[in-house]
Amino acid sequence: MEVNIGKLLKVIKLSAQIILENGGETYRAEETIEFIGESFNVKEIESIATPTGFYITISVNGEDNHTLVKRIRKRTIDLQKINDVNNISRQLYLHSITLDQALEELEYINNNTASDKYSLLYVGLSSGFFTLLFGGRILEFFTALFSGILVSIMSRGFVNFHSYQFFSNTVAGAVIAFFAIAVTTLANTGNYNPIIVGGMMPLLPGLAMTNAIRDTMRGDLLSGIARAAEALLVASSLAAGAGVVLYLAYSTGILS
Amino acid sequence: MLTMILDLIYCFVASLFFALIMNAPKKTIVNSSISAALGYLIYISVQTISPTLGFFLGTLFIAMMGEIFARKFKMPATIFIFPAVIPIVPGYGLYQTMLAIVQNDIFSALEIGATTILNIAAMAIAMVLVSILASKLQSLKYRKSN
Repeated sequence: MEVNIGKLLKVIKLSAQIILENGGETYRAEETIEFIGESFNVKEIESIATPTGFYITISVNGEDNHTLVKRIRKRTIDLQKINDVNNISRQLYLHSITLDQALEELEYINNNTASDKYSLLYVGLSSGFFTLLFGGRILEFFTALFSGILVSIMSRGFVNFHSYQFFSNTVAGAVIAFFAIAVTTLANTGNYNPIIVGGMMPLLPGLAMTNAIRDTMRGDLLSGIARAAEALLVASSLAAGAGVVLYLAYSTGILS
Repeated sequence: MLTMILDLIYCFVASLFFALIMNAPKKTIVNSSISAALGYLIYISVQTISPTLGFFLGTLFIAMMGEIFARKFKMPATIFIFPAVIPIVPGYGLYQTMLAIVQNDIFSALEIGATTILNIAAMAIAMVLVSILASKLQSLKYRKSN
């Protein structure tokens, strides 16, 4: 069976791109690239994926090489898309869909993000329940809920900014800390710590750090270091934002 | 006892909304939230003996549940592990480290920070262990059937 190399490369590129842009691991991207290659009896396929881009070389007959480089600029988490790509690579392996169909579906997945109109509320509620888990009460719950919603509205406004991640996290940290301290001080009861931790929970890079260490242990050194750098950036920008507010509160004597 | 049950409910709901934030496939959300709550229960109960062991065993359970669900639903295990592991991730430790730095208490910042990194590493080891085991089992099964 003759394979259209151009289309095959396009399918492989889109699959890897969607996986890396939506929070998939680099080894998952590499495995998917090889998996699709194998299902079309490609003689040689080699790939290197990092969180900021990937390189693929395929050789269908073992003589002519085709190479592709793709830069990854935006990174979010969308597990639905990762699952969809996984399904398509399975179907390609079983040859239950053609390359054209796969390409069409991948392009659809890439261009269409399911926008849930309640997504702001999810961030707020998640923050609120984490606050309860960390020992908050009703007052803390509602403060975290509102600051969570406010933070996710603001981070949308920052999306088109240069160095978006740093600025949005700094502002988010500051807003959460400000609300937590302001509400607990004005109400003269309650504890601001659970609000800040709960509110930051959806933003904290704990999972990114875990992934960084896991990638490093798997031998994906480049990806491990890149993820560690990202985690460090997020942690320090959150700490900078919340830290300034906490520092001001301590030095002006609002908190002691 | 009552606070424990309440904590488990909070944990379940929090990870449910977290799965929704991550746009997890709808039919996986309840499963991952249940394994989040059970993993948190293990983490809390073991933590009184040794905190780091709590992080390790809690994550180990969630990762194993993730692999089991992955086989059952034919989906990547990550989809079940990511939202479920969030309540265990030592966010409080990271926050306390920052708080200590702000209060100019570098010594306790280092102490809490090092412990937090150690706990995160324990979680990563648990995740890697399970994924190695799962892929070994998979290849054994594959060899037997051929």
